[in-house]
Amino acid sequence: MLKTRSFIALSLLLAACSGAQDPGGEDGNSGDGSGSGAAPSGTGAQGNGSGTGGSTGHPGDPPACESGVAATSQLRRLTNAQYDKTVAKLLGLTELSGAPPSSLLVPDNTGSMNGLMWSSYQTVAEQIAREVMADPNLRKNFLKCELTGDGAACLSSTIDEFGRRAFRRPLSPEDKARFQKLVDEGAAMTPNGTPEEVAELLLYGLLISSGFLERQELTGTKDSSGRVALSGHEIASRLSYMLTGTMPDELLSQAADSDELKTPDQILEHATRLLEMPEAREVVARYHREYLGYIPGNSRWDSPARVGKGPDFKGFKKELVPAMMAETEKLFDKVTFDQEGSFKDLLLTQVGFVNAGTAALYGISGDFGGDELREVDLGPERPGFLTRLAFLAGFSDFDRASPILRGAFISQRVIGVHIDSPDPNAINTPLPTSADLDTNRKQVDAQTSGGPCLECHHTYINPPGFVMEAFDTVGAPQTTEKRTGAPIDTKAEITLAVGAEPVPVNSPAELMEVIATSKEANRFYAQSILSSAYERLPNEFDACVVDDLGTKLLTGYSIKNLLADLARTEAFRTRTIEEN
Amino acid sequence: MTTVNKRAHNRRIFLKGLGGALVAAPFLPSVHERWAKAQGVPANKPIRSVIYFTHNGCITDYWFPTKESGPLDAEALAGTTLEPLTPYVNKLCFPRGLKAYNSYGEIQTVDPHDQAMGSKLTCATIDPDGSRYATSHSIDHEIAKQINPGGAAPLVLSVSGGSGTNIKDVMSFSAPGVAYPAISNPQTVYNNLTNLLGSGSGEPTPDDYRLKRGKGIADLIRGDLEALQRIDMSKRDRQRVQDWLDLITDVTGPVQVAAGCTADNATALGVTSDAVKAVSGGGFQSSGTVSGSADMMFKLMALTMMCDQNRSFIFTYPGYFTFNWDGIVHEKDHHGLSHRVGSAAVGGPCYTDSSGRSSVELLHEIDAWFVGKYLKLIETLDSIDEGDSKLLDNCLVTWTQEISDGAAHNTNNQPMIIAGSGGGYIKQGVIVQLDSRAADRGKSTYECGPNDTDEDAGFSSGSNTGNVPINKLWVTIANATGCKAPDGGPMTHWGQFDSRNLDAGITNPGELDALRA
Repeated sequence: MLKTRSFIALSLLLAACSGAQDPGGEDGNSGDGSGSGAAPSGTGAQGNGSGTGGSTGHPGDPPACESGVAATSQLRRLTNAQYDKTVAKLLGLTELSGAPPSSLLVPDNTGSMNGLMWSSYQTVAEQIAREVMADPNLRKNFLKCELTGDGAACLSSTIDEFGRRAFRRPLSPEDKARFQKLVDEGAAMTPNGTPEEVAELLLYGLLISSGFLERQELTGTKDSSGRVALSGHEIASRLSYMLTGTMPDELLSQAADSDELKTPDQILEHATRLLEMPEAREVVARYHREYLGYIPGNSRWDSPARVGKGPDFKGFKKELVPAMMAETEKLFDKVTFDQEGSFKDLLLTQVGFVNAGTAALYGISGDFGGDELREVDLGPERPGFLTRLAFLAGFSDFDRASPILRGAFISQRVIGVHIDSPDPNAINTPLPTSADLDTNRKQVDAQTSGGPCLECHHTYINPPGFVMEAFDTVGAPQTTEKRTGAPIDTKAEITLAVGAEPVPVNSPAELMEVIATSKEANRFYAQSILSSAYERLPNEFDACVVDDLGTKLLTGYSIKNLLADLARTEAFRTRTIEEN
Repeated sequence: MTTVNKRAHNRRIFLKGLGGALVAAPFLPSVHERWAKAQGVPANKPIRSVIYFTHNGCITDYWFPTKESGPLDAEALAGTTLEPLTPYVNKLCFPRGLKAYNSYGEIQTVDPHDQAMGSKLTCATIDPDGSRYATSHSIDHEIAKQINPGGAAPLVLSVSGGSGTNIKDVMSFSAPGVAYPAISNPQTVYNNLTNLLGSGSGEPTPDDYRLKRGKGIADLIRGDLEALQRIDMSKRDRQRVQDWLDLITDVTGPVQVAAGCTADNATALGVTSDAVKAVSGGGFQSSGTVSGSADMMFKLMALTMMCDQNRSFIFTYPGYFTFNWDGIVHEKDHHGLSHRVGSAAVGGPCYTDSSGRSSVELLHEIDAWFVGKYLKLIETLDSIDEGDSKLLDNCLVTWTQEISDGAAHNTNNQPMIIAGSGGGYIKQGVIVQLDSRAADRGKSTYECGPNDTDEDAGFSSGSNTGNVPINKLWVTIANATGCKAPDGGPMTHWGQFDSRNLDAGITNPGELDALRA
């Protein structure tokens, strides 16, 4: 018997948006809610190995639709990424000593301000203020007037003008008085008391104020249902950070000033406009990365058993992995923005992006030059992102294709079936070998036939994975098992939800069609995008919106429309305060 | 007054009267607030906890001392990975027989890497499906809250690549479900300290402009936050405002500053602006941003102690990096090597690199590097005189590992060392067997090592015994630093459970008496 064992850490697969989540406290987090979003970010989260999963799973139903708005924090601290983008838009400064300003801040943290965090904000603000005042090109982004005489008039107007941009709202009289006092007494706080030094002090003070560091929602009163309608400036801030990752632009700010963000249609007008900006593509690419949960550092790609070894990995090079990842990102971008497509198009598009290296793996002939990705039509047998190399090669085992890794991903992250973590002892389940088990499918089927594995594997995980056996470890089409020459069977019955009638499919193309037209997968996608956009876990109050958006997606409603409509919901336009 | 003794071979820094002289507060008000609050805390020789953490276990049968218990001597370390620590045998304590974290298997069945990160310092369950964050705060935060000047948060540090918020990177939790990621940029830590360091050559004058600026800024931000307090908010948001406000204070006159907290001492320690800059920044892992950065973080920890800015520390390494510095040239990442197959897969053919070295040999090289760094950390702390002892003597530098062996993923028989006695609280120069059954040195070399009988990686590399719950160790360390139970007596409990019955809670409270001096 081979010693090869199976062990899958489903943490990666389960990390972000499973079916029914406890909303916890404010923002769906159990702790402080000023953090950076629903799913933890960072590096190093490779899934472990390949093999058995879901041994004790129980699929859960999506939360039932319930009317209401979940409590959110009124004091969301800028994430480090938002901090950098806000400083860039506000002042034109993108680096301090060759690195983004936030490289000197403490990592994103959802807790209260602490000493080191506060110290780092002050240090970075001090450096930004110094650099801005020392560079005439940056300085004009701060001061719109000349510091003539004692500079008092210019600095007073700067409090109003720059303060409004920095705080994403007009300053209150109280705010202005505090900054005016700093300016009035600034000469005594600086070495030479020059207007330039006082201006630098003012900028420093603004950049460490709560109005800059936090996305505050402070105005309004509760209605009879306990909801508070956001002000125009609060709407503008939410909208801008949701769709562009940074502070509002001038048009949006003017709309807020003019109280023209009161109705859903007024908001929609600006959402539509913002989605045309280049920053929107960056933001939506992040939402899609969170939806996919792909980890670029997946070390299965780097397995020594793969590179240059064995028939299963012919032509595979670790160096091609970035091109594979880039292809997937370009596919999502193309469908979302260029084609204005819907969820189904992500699964059905024939568009591919290849370079010389990946074209060979796809089996495409022609001159593809060097590393640059070129758009190609991959034909009807390769529909959508689940038939692209990044998924197929990344979700293979180190020495063979993995129906379990592929199937678990499809069931959990695309269809949205909730499956609990497997028992750690599952690692001791060997992959059986015998003469009659002449295909990978048969081996895995036998491996997962034991008691606790059976239900989840045979109902939800294995079937879509078996269909994807049409592609080998690297992603090339295969019809026979390389090891034995036995024919590969890609027929399976797909169960999309608990109690649902299984749907027979024969090929990856049919599987993609079934998924693309399923209400479960459309709903799950809508929920994932909502979670990313609202920077929190979904809750039961979101269920109505998710149901509605999922249903619309089924009719061909575009992803851009979905993103825009997320700005029109009650949850977006109003807030509630957590009961004490 | 702190002095620097520039000896020929060992430049030492003397920290006398850490309680400090009264000098004018030259710099940021926020840090001085903590000093003002620290007046009620015994200032002389505070005890510090440093947790030194490494991922993916080690080659245990090379790592452990060759004897199970009793006095620690050079012979017990001879030929082991730990041999370089021999000069410090009299300042080391080996607690044997501990489990990496409390229980596993029946309470939760989660990836042991994730459970170790979430449960080790919290002794609590973790969120099994979402973030996998712990459901309680970690011991470093408890210690910080109780003994840090002003209750400042602990200093959690790493090197390039170690500051992610994924559970694979996070072991410190400030509250249930609230991760406290590590700072990986030495510049961030240094910037905080430079605001404190006196010149050592003269006291700033009370009318220094920065003092006035500090007061003006404090007024500004206090006014800002007090305005927020007048707005209807949730209890959580109000607490956020209050926590921030607590960091702001006036500096209108002399406040207490640690006498050792000077620029001269920082320079003597090797902490200068240029030196910090040389190992800071960059999102890539190189000799500078990993090895050099680790060394600088150790010095910054020491300087932080000299300034008494923190008494609760964690230093971690990323778990998934590929060693390519200090003469080590690896082709596969640490985690992949720990599985013996060169990737995250579990089981399969043993990996050998392009020069024919086995995964066990490569892991042994990594383990030796970690030992070298641990040695550097305790050397740094031992080079600083604090009254009639060394800074190290008033620390507990606890090396704990995520799991025990990376292939078996076993959590029993935890490889662990404590350096420093915590002011005489913990035994020194000894190996203490805590389990009722003698622990072996494990069998790491039985998978892809010289004791393997085939060429495949399996799961025979674990240990047989060593299941003492780790919560009692944290109780012992917390008490050594001066932490108290709510009733004012010594702490007896830490965590949610210490057996495989969550409902039973802590069934065996108290310290590890066998470790007490």
